[in-house]
Amino acid sequence: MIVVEQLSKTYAPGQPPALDQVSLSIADGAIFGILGRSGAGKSTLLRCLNLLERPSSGRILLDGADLTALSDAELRRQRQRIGMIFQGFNLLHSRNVFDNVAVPLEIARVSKEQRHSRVRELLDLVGLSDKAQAFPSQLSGGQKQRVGIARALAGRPAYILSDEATSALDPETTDSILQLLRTINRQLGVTIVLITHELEVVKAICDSAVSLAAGRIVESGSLVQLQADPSSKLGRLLAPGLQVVRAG
Amino acid sequence: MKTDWHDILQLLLTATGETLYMVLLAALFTVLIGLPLGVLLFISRRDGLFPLPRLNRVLGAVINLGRSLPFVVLLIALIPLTRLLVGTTLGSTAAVVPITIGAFPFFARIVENALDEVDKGRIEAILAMGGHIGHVIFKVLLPEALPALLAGITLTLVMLIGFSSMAGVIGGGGLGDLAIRYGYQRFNNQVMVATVVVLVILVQSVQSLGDGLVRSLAHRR
Repeated sequence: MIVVEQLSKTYAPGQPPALDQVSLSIADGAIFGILGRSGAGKSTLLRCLNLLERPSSGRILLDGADLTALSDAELRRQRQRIGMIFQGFNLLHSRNVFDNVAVPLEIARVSKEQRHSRVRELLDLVGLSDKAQAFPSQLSGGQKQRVGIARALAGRPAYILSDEATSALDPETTDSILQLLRTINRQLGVTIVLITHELEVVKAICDSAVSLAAGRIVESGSLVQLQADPSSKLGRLLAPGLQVVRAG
Repeated sequence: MKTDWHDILQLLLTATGETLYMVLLAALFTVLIGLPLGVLLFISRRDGLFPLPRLNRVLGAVINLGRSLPFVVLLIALIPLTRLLVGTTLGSTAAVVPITIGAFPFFARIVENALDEVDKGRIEAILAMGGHIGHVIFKVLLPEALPALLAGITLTLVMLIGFSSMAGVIGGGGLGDLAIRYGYQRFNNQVMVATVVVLVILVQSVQSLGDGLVRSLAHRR
């Protein structure tokens, strides 16, 4: 379980905070959406969850362990339990698909034989077994994100953080990537935290969501709750049947 | 004054050998010193992976000092250091000292700039999966910057050929020495022209070889 307590982040003194006293908790096994316009602080919030961004104040509890209080070595160990996927994929262009997926395993000092069987397994899972020897520049956006997902799953993480993972993809590819994320969530029980500015993404796969504006949480709850609450603006936007509405 | 072609060939062969010896040995030391220094310059930036702003400023100043001296001045100013390190100030081996010192600050900057071109998101991805700074350097920075680094080494080699030619001024041998002794002091145009031809061929080959390597790498990626 991820618990965020009173999280604030200010980049420069005198500037308005990017995050202002944000508290939330994310249940194990959930697909949790963080929705907001650009500049709302959602990216900062997500990046605080694995401490790529260090908060100015507040705590992030990962299964009870406060990330902000860990030593560098302990933090690196915790990060191995948190996979991350990115809008820009961030694959290594000097390595082929197979070796890209193997990176987290190399970092975790997994033996070569085990790396091999694990990478084969993951490429199978994301449907890219035939592209193992291809380089990232030879892949389409959707294929790159599949490699990113396989890489994020390599170390058998309990959590996946998704930073606008589908925002650079066309609608059909977005659907297939969202399906894949849902499959992973259902089959492997991985908790997924995703940020997006697209309502459809939340509608398609999230169990619960928060909306963020100016660094504060505006609304939060499970999708069912939000949709049932007539006073919830987010709930109305997320109402089933409504098509092609964008928050941004 | 006419010189026998056989003699010219003999002179050229010896001088080209000396030049190659100076250039390759100096290139080795330049990369050995400049590569780690360039990495250090990059990671020690204020917003870098391992911020050491004070060290970064000092290193930057020393490197700029090295780069602001004309090579001929450096060549002569470093004579005491050369004597200390090599035991003599004459000959091709002695010339390697000033050539290396003239080249490594330049190469360190090239390395720093090449690493700066690597997409920051890729560095972040490695950190997010629990990698430490060593993983970032050896799995991301150096491999991802390899084409730019190879292009930088090519550039440096061409510069080293230029530097090595000036080593003739302090009796370092090589093609520059030949040009000074025969072309300038004895007005021997045959040797002069032959020297120029060999230098042009040398630079062209290094450049083509480097470009080819960079292209074959970039093609794959």
